[in-house]
Amino acid sequence: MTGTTAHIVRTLLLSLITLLGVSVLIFLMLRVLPGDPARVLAGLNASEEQVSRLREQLGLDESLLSQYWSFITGVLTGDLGQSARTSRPVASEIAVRLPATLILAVVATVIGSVVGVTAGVLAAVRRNSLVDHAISSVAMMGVSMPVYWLGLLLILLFAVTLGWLPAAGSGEPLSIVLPAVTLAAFSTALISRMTRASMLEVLGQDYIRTAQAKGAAPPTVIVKHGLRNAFIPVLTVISLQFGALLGGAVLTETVFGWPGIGRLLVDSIGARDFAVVQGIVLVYAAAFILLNVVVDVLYVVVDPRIRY
Amino acid sequence: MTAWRRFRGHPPGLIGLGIVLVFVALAVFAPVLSPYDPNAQDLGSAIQGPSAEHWLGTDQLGRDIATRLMYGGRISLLIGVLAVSIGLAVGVPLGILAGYYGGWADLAISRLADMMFAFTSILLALTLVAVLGVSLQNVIIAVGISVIPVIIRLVRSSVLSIREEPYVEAARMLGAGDLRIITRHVFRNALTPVLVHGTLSIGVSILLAAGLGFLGLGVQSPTAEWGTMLGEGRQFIFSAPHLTTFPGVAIFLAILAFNLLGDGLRDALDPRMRSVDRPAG
Repeated sequence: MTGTTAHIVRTLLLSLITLLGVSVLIFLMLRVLPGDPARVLAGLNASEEQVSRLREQLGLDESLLSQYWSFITGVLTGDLGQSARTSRPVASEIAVRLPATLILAVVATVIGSVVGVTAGVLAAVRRNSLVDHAISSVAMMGVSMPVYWLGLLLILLFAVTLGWLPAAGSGEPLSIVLPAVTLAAFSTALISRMTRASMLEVLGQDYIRTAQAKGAAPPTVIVKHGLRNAFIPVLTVISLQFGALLGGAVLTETVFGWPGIGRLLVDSIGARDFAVVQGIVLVYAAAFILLNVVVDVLYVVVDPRIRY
Repeated sequence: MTAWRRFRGHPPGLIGLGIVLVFVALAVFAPVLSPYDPNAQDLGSAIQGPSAEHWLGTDQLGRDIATRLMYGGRISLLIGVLAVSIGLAVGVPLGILAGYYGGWADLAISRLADMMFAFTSILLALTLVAVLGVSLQNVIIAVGISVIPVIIRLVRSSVLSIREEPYVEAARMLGAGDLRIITRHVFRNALTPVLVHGTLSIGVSILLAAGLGFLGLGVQSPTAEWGTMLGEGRQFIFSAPHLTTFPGVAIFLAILAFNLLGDGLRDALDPRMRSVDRPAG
């Protein structure tokens, strides 16, 4: 097990380096901007006085290195700066909207995993049948669908024409249905394609034939022998998709007026409120990196063959 | 030409190629095919449904939607091809360096790719456009940069396995230098996955650029761009859904076409992958 521990420590170290690099990239992106970063960070409507106060706050007369140092120590103590639009701390702006995005991403991931894995297994087991062709075709369309257009189509059908579900906002419990389904569409399609390919490979293995020859019931063979072994690449896709969903939420939240951090990001870019942009990108990146570490550790748990 | 024969025997790939060719033809011959100027406003005939005069109707400023879609195809295809070119021009050399030399080069380059991945492509493109400012050129750069990490990882992993092949070992024993091995053996054998992924990436880039346009952070009006058209038509979604439907169909078909083409190329060029994803039996 020492090998496994060493691997996890190594993964953690590399992730820490990546996270540090991301913070440097975000920091530099805003500082290499043409013009005065204080003016940019303060926003378009800031007065001369506000700009000079911010310049002092940011210590822009100091060296780049010491500026980064105060930025990163601020981040580590939960201080992400101040929003130019609302004058509230960026951290609390994000904290208020983060739950909405997380709920959306979690529900979409659950939909994507359950529907995607089921469809993928079905397509693989009934390979080259009508069911397989139908599932594969729908999946192909799913990975080609612009999420914002799908959202609009679903609004037209379920909110306008049928009147079953609310078109936008987050006021009612049912409000989450359309955005979650929209957001889940791409992942569902991708997960089903991955599951199908992975299952086909596994179902061709000798141990599957052995299990069948021993007289194991088909469902047992498919789930216990097939899916369990086919699950590693599927797990990778599911976890990467969760990260991508956080990003994809930017578009979905805009279509449905969902009050998450994706929409906050778009609004902040529109208002050139770069302190908030910086904070959100940092939070997203940290979440994505953390997720990758968790998956890496999960591999060892799910697949006993993996030992480092 | 066995690859071409395999490709021919794969209907989805052919359909993808067909759609791509139609889009290219529509984009190239737009001025010949349409009597309208894509930006000419005619407020007297704003928001009309499809008719003999305007096949796909007119938008909120009375512009012909079919014409704007054809000219918009130029922008989308341009963005797709140029963005992927940027991704390949930067990603392929870095991927080869990381995979072939390993060690510090690999550690540094892979970390860079990880960092870019951590942004996720949409956030990376959004942030870059926010910083650089909104213009066609900056959209291409932003989308192109977001393609780089995918190509780095892909090329690196192909090169890692190619490096161990007997023919590379043989070339080295015959006294071939690194540069010769890389250009003559490694690059050539890494070409297939790059070609397949490059094709798929064109679709992804078009999708991403249209997404930026939809958010109002892509190619700006009055230039006809599919995502921007969709975004601007959104406010008329209840009264005139055709303003969003037709650009939506265009984006969907373009991405579907590049996905089908990419899948077809993979099946034709790499029979080993074929046996897994699309068994012959």
